Amino acid sequence: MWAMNVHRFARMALGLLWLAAVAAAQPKEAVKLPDSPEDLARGKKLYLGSCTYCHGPTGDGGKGADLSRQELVQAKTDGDLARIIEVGIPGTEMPSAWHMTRREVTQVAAYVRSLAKVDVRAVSGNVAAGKALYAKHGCAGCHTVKQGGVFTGGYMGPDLSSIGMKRSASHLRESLINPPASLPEGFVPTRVLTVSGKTIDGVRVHEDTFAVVLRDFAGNNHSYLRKDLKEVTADRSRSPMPSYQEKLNATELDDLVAYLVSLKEPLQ
Amino acid sequence: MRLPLLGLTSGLALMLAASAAWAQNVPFSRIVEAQKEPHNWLTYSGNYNGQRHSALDQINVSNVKRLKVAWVHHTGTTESHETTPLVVDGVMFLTEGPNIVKSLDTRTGNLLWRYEKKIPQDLRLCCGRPNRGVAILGDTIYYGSIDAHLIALDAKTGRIKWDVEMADHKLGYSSTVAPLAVKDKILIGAAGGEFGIRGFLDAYDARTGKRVWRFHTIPGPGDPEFGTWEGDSWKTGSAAIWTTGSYDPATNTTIWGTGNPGPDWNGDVRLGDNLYSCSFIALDVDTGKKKWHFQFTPHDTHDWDATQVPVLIDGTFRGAAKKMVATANRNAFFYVLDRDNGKFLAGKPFVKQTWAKGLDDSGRPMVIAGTDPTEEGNLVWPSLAGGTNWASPSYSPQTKLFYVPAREQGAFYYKGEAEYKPGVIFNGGGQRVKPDEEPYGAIRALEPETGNLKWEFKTQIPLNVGILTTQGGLLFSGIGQGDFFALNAATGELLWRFKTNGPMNSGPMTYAVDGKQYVAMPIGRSLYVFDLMES
Ligand code: HEC
Ligand code: HEC
Repeated sequence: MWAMNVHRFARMALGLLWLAAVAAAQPKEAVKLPDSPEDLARGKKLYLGSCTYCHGPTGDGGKGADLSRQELVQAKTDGDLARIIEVGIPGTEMPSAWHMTRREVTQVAAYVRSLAKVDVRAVSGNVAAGKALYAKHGCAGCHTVKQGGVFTGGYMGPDLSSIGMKRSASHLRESLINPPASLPEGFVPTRVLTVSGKTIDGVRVHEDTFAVVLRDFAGNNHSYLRKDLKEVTADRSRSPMPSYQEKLNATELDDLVAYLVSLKEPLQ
Repeated sequence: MRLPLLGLTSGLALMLAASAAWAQNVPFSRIVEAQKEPHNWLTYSGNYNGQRHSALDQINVSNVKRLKVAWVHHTGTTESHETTPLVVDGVMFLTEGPNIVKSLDTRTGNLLWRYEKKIPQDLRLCCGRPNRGVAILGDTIYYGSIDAHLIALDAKTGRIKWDVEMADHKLGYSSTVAPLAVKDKILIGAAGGEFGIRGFLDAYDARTGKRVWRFHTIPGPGDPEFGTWEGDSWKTGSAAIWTTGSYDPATNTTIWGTGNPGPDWNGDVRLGDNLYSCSFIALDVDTGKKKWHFQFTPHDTHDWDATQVPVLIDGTFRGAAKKMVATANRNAFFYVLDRDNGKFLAGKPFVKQTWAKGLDDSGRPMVIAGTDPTEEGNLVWPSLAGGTNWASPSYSPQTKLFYVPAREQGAFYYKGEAEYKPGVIFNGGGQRVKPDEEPYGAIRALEPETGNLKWEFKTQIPLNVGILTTQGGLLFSGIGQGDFFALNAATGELLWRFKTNGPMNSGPMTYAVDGKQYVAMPIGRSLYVFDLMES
């Protein structure tokens, strides 16, 4: 039935409640991940279906966290890993695999563990040099990071203070070279043309059947009723962020990525 | 103006003035002829025919611009608010999840009584703890509780008369549907389609709560349709009931939609057509015996329940008078069937779909190979939520159009493991909506004879709010993002809207009291009631 009675997220939350209830009902026991080739093969299939589009086929790509690292910050134990897969990480893009049975969850978890054994990738750049490049290229004009205990910078782009936990190195590299490749939902470049002939560019904060809210590149909010607009164009093929492909050489790119990977402020 | 000496005096005066009307008694004969008292809303869909059309016309195309909030009733519910209130002679009856029934004064929203069911903590649910409303018969309110009980309450006080268990909640049975009162019986079924239940529709003696019959939505041994499930899979095949059916007094037939076969997305473990999942079933109310069935999606693997309210239409089909039942199904097709025998008359898609070449002469979908869920994820339109979901459609005898809240969205469907364990979720997969796509919705007005689109009103997001049409030429509905609106039912022109910024998960209804028409709609955690501003 999976009725549309609840919003997708609400339903996830309810799923969490249910799982939490189930978890509470069972004493906490150490989780043993299966290790037979059949289980791993099945885990791989499920992983390719449900996880690849965020974590990449080998765990080090996509907009999800890098799962090919030797140690997963939030999934140190196998129990934590299985729980994260089962209920997701609330408040982040990491969803609950609500459609998997407990056995499937452990099979996927086993496959995730095997990723680290296959590919241990160190990020080769220099963090300090990357930090300097971040300042030099004006990234702070659009992004915030934590410096000296304070979140500083601009608001045009996403907060980068925990970006090293959220995204893989390959995704961060891609973000610098080809920003439109993966647009976070709150940053879809949108242009409105008003009935009186004015054009405003910004990112889409809200759009419904009757109204549109944009944030322009100076950070100002603009709220419109559709009847006052001639055109609304949301363009996912562009990003408000410029590409740094031409502006950074290979070493600089590595350094900047290394700096971004080092940004691991715990989620507030 | 003369001021009353005491607040109490005026309150009493009102009570006295209305008290004659407050003697709730709704025999079956009144519900059968509900169209004769349009100021009331006596059953879930307003009328046995499931049309959600009201003959009230005080609020109409020329004055709806003056609609404003009359009163608001706040609830404490944190569940999806899915109730359709009933109104009987100035008194309203509504539910709120997870476990509350209330009665309100329809002019003010003042609380007359409140009943709270004690519910267990170990419920097995897929989708929250909502409830869609109550039934009334005689002086009694009937309520299906989330733990799969049917409860009878005194309409004037909310005091309990009886409470019967329909099925064991520990096995995944639950109830969210508004019961249907017919003759001396209360009809209700169980939800739980994600737990491998064996679905049923029950009839209970309205006076005693004794079960009179049970129709299994999955036929057992001995039934001619037994054998549309491989092996023992019928025992855990689900086919739940979670939206209210309709009733045709002329033939004493009740028609209900049934839910998905279980497990939802892995069809390998239940080969066969899986009757009567994803079907309409037509039963004799006295005996519970089946008259006919029509299966929209044989061997469904996308969770496309047929739990849409069946809409009974008396009209003409290809020139001849015909008794029809129409529905826009979750599987993206619109259907018209012959109500007397369940035979397929016409059907066509009303939203984008990529899983069938079309319908054959018997109405069976010609399924395109390779559209089942896979372990890697298979992209198919429509998404799991379907071309439309459970939100009620409407048919207006005035415009002769069928209205549906439509959803344009695709999804990746996954197949997973499916092993039945009692009381444990039995999905066999799932879905992920297509990312980087801008899904949208529309109110679509279809000609029931052909399924052809007459007009559409496009919305930013896919719709899941029910529709009400009125003799005032209006169509009321809403958008999940928080807009409640009125359209011209003939043209789709937007005439009025109210920005609520709250979610809407139900549908509107209308009633009148003291000669004044109101429109009621659950929005966010509240019930909003609208009336016309004095001109
Ligand atoms: C929609 C994108 C998305 C999907 C799909 C997704 N993830 Fe994630 N995942 C993320 C993001 C983003 C994070 C980082 C969350 C944060 O900010 O901490 C994450 C974090 C994790 C972590 C914690 C990593 C750490 O460093 O501790 C694990 C483990 C994980 N995901 C596993 C999975 C598995 C297994 C699947 C498939 C069943 C999956 N994810 C599906 C986006 C996704
Ligand atoms: C003009 C404003 C602007 C500037 C300057 C800018 N960015 Fe961005 N950045 C954005 C926006 C907007 C997004 C979100 C849209 C997108 O991902 O393309 C973004 C996205 C990102 C992301 C991906 C975030 C995620 O959650 O996936 C990273 C990483 C990033 N920027 C790093 C940088 C770095 C490093 C610099 C400096 C070299 C920089 N940006 C300069 C606006 C900017």
